[in-house]
Amino acid sequence: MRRQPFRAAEGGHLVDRSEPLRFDFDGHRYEGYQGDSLASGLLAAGVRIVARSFKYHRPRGVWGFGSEEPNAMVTTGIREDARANLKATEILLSDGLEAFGQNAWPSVAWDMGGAVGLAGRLMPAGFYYKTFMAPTRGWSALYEPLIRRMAGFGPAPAAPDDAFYAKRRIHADVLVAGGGPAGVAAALAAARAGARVVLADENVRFGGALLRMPGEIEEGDGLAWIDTAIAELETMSHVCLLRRATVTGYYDHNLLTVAERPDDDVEPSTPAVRLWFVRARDVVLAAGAHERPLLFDGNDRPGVMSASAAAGYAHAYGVLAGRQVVVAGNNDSIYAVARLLRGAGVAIAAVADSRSGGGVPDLPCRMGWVVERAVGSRRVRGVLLRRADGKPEDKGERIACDFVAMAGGWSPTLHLHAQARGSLDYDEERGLILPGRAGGVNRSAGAAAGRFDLDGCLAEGWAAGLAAATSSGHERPVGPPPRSPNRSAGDAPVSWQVGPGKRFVDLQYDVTAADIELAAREGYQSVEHVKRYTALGMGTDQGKTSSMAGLVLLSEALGRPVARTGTTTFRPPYTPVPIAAMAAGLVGEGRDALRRTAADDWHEAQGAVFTAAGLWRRPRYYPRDGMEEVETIEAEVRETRGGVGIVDVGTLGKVDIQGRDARVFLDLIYANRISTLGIGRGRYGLMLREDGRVFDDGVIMRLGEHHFYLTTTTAHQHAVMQHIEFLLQTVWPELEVYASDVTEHWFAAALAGPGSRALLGRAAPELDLSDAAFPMMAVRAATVAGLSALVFRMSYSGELSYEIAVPADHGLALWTRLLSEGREDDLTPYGTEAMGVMRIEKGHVTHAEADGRTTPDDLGLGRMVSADKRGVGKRSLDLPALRQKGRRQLVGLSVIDTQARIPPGCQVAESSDMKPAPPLGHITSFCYSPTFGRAIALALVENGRARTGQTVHITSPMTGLSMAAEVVPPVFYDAQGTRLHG
Amino acid sequence: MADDLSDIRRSPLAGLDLGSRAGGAGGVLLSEGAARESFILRGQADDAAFARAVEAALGIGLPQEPAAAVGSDALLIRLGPDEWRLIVPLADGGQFAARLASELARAGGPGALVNVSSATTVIAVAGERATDLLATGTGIDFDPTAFPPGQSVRTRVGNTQALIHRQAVDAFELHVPRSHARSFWEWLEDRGREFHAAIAL
Repeated sequence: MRRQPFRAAEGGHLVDRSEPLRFDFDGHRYEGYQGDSLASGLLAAGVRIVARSFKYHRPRGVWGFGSEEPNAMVTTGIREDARANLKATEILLSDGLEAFGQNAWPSVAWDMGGAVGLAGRLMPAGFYYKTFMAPTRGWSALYEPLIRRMAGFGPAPAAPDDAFYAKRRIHADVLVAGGGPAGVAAALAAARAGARVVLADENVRFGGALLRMPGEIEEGDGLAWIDTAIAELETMSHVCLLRRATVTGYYDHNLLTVAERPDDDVEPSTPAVRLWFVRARDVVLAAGAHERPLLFDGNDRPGVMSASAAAGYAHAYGVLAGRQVVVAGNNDSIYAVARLLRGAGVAIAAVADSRSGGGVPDLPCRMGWVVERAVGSRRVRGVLLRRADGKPEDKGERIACDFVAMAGGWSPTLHLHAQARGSLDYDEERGLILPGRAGGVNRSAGAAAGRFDLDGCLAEGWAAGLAAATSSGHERPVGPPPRSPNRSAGDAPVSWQVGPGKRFVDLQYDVTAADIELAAREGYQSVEHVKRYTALGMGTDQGKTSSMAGLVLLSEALGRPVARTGTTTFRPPYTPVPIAAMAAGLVGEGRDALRRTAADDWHEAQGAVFTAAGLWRRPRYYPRDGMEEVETIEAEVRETRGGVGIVDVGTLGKVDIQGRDARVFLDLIYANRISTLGIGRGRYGLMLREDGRVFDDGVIMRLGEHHFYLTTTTAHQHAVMQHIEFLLQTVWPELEVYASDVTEHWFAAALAGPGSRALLGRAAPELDLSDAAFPMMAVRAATVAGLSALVFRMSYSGELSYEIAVPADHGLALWTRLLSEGREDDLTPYGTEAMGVMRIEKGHVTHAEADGRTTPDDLGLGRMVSADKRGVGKRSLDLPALRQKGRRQLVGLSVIDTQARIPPGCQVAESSDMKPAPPLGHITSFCYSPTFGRAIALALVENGRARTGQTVHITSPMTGLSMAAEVVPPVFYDAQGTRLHG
Repeated sequence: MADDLSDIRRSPLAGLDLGSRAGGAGGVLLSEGAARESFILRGQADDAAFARAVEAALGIGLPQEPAAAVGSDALLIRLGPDEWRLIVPLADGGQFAARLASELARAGGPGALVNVSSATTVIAVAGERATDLLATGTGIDFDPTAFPPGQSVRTRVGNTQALIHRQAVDAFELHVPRSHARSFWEWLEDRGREFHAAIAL
């Protein structure tokens, strides 16, 4: 038995007959050739049913030739390798390919949904608005699962897609979208003129319509001329040729996306899809045209297909869509198609031309005849023809055939032109929507502009390429344009007869002519509403073959001109782009810009448990053998408070401020006065937003006459820098101040605890650490552990503490040297958890308290706001709303029950009964305090300071927990600050 | 007295142990570039005293065109209307910067000079596919007419921002933020699979 019964004895410029391939479809093994598409392979094997339709589960076959295919939706691979919703026309056949038709169980050939005819009756136009209205609970319980099973597309993959996806950005003078005769002529002209050209075409070979039907260029075979032109372009280093690459989107400023599918069967380094971002000075839109369907009863039956596709399978692959054909249409292309098919060995049963008169002697023409109905269910067995001008009661004539090639005329591909916000003009006489005024910098050429003759396409493409090159400044001589003797192509009238039966407009979403009429009868007028009501054009093919017919039918039903109906909005992408391609380079481990401090390698080697702080990772705590997390954190706190600890504070934002007006500027951006700071001294500073709320806090150190160094919180590094730059550039440009972000340059570690002075004394023997020589909030340049460093005396933990900063390249050396120096002190490295416990005990605020809603007074920092100077946000503090009584104020809460632990997300309430009532406030930070042996918290509470000594309730409505707590001042630990001196 | 700096310098890429993974031949070669001294230089381009001080100290004039870079041993790159980056070899031992600081002081202290030598890590990307690899993550036009060798640009590349310096048509140095260096290297290696990227020491 022949394995490829429908392969012609010869022909097929895309296939290599010396290389047979085997592939599986729905569990059956078939044979094809290298160069076949899955669609041509299936047709060659005689497989007619390739998928089932969306709503009605009707059997469907191959309809088109390329990306316009509405029917032949398949899934390739299984389980984790499964890729769904692919078009059989776009899949390159490879040895061992496994594919499955979609929307059917157990297979497309024998589908339960279709057999019971259940789905169709459930789903009239707008079915999801009508059928499943009530009860609402029914949706998730019953309707959705039912519809999903019956009407879903391919299965979602069961595991992450581990294929490689890539992106590439490229700049061009001229991007040519479409590599048919017009596009290749445009690219050749532009490239010869000297322009940088990107030419992208979705097929495996350049040639466009010439792949499907032969034509003549320059007194020779058209495809041969294309090959010669491509060979010339390939020698030019300023030309980039992309095959199997669809221009999918046209965005602002002439940015276009191109989805390239380099090869389907890949080595690990070849991406499954490469998404190009092309920034083009000028664009030639030569994306061709789509063939329109004819609307007759049963026009969806397997075997009914686009005439140009039927010709294309014979010409490009040597594959016959059947043995005996009826060619039907409304334009001259049917004669060329019929002759090509006859030449390939197909018997021509009839050529039905809806136009009266004319005809050609060499073909069995039926002038003035149209197809009334396709006969057969699982495949076409014949058609019923009738006179176009006949009466309804006329008996038609049945003609046997096993496939129908239908030619309803051509619709220019307007998508990219329209995405660029170009206008559309309806040519009433020709029945075409044509590109009007261009949106971006682009020009349409060839069939995409309504030129359907080969000579016209070449001339227009050539001229467009030249113009695009000229507009981008390239004017080298290019020679004469190519010519073709094929100089006429008749237009097709726009008229779709409508009658009884299932006349499919949108094959993918099963929208019939009757559905559109029903929508019009129900009052829908806007084409956008009709689209959403009927689902017309909403499939993965985005209505490439259906939208024109839908438009005309709607206009006729509403009795108004097509131009008034307009089109739906063209949105990118033109063809589906995998999400994985859009996410290429952005997903997976390590793809985030994880920030590591200079001591990160040490933390990792110690097995630190990390926490995310913005993009930074910081040690949360350092696990110890045999100890739980909470015990470890308590030990880190205890050992620091009782001895000495070290913490990595390299993540704090750091800003270098220089310039003659630095002091003036710092007074303006901080609420408190900075200008009085002496050299070598530091001060805590509070930054406000313009609206008076606390923005950030940090420490400002004065290093020289006009030189300051300030820290920001880890979270607000970039925001503070942006704030400073904005003010300098726009508000006070006259100030001579230079602010530089030096966060990345400095590493810092803090030594904290009563033992820190002794340890630092040994590490920096030249430094006098006595209180008198090195007081609180002083800064000194010193050599620490053999490294040039800046030492700040400040405290976050509430203990005697020093922060030591070195250039980050020396950060790990500082860290490890301090740790080995500190061995005799039992120096304890601690993480952010212990740091957080100590700062809560000490009542320091973070962004949990300074949450963008709180003023300095709310946080108990009202005294810091300098009364005798101006500054950002100060004026807003006089707003009545910020001064009124009843604002939430920062307090400490000390939980009375020592065994109780505070859960996350707690409110503060007057009573413990958990009845709905406005809360008094909310918990901002909480911990178990090993120092006090109980849970403590910081909270923002209405009139909180006046409640000191009262009992309130910490309640967790989500968990039902409630506990009594005493209101105390926020500084739990060492309110007098004696421990800061060791 | 501080130790000899070269012994204690630690690259953020050290933890990746590039030595154990070096080798292979591909369309693009990734390596860690030599460490540099690096300074932010701020000042007004039209301030003659500032410009004279810079030229006196470095022997090269302030580049005025955006993204223009001048010099070779000492590279001065214009990054903004009032911002330049001075990049000098580590072996210089801070002499360029010291000279510049004293010339600026002599001129009355215009502008600002900030040491950011530890702030960036240098990653070299070279080979015939170097521009293709970079183009997976940045929108810069790498055509030699648009971005000739010797020029620099600060822009986003992949998951970080980088100062890209084009040394030759096929050779680039990327100065990336130190804290991002490791994850950026991992990103480069991942994207480099497409070009069979090789690692060199």
